[in-house]
Amino acid sequence: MNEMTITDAQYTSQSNATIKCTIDGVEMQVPCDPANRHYDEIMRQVAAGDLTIADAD
Amino acid sequence: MSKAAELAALIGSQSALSNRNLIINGAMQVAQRGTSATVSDNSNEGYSTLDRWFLNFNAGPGGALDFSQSTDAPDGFANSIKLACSTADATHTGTENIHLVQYIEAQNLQQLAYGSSNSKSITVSWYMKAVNFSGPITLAFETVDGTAEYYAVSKTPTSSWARYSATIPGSSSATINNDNGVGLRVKFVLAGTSSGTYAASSDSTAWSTTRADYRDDIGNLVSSTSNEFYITGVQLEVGETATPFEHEPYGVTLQKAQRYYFKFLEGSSKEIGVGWYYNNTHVSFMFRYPTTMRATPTATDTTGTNYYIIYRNNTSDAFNSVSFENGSTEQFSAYNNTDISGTAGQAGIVRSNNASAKIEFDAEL
Repeated sequence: MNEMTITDAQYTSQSNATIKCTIDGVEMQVPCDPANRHYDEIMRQVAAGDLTIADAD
Repeated sequence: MSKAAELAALIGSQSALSNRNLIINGAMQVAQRGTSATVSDNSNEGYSTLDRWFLNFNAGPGGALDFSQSTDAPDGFANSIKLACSTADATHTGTENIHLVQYIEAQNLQQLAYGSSNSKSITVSWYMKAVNFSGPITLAFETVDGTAEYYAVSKTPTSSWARYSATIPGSSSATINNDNGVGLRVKFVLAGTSSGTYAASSDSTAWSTTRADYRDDIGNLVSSTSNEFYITGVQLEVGETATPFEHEPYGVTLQKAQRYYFKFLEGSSKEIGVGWYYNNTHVSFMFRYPTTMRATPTATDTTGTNYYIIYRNNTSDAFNSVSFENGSTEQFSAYNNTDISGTAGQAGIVRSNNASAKIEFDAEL
């Protein structure tokens, strides 16, 4: 069971350094740092097939 | 305890005379995010009020708790955490439980020497009381790296403030990596069920790889909307003695907490810093944190019409949101390229422009 509900994940436009997404109803900008708990959970859900990160606009 | 006995306990505790509390914000003084929130499964769950304290509705239990900073506290303390049941749920099943937890950064725990024959005992002490709730609660520990190890003991609050403690032996087999990840979870479990999947049948006397989320005599804080639970003065120290709580200046606790969370601004007319026009429709600026954060933080900005503004060249240019670009543990660059119309090369001062504007950085464990 996912402890965070993550939707609308998309890399930001300037580079792939951050991911804009909604976590538990709050829009956040998550850095691609493996030590960041939100990024860690995004990658876990991606690996599980539960989440897709859209390319930047 | 007499002053002489306190001193003897400190000297005999094999721990430092200062900076010996491995818990941050144990006196419940710092609340950057706010002082109250109603928490239920997937609603405000996690870090919602007092810094470093995470309220977890594990595996989807029902019920809700009003989680607030209270001024009801024992002598010598100004604050406590108050958890008041606002929605009741009489029954929990499976792995459901509700717990208040602090995740301790692994590199701050190397002195415990876990995983070696020289591993150290630790002692946890805290003050608690309850209203219309007799518990028991469970004090539970969990290591995270390698093969997880568990330790759980039952404690019963009364209706009056009292100090409790528990000494936990070292583990020669548990792993705590020397890094910036989670090293130890220190949990106060407040609701579960006697038939829970990971309910231990007796108090631990040694660390075990058998999962023990809580004791099977656990009470249920959300059994009634009359239930309240208060806690403060939480201290985790090396050694087998619960020494007097180590009070520290508010600013010291705030700085420790800002390694994990930092509210840059909330409200209108709060300065961000210098901004400059990269081109006619793109303004850049940056945020610096007051202390090095644990990891590159997640950035959050509230958005709305003209929430932010840049003053430049005798005029202003408002914009609705902030896009964060390249972050580190020291700073985050940012820009807006959707609402801006100016002149490339000009510079100005960027600030918030609405009472609801808020910018936060979160590097919590």
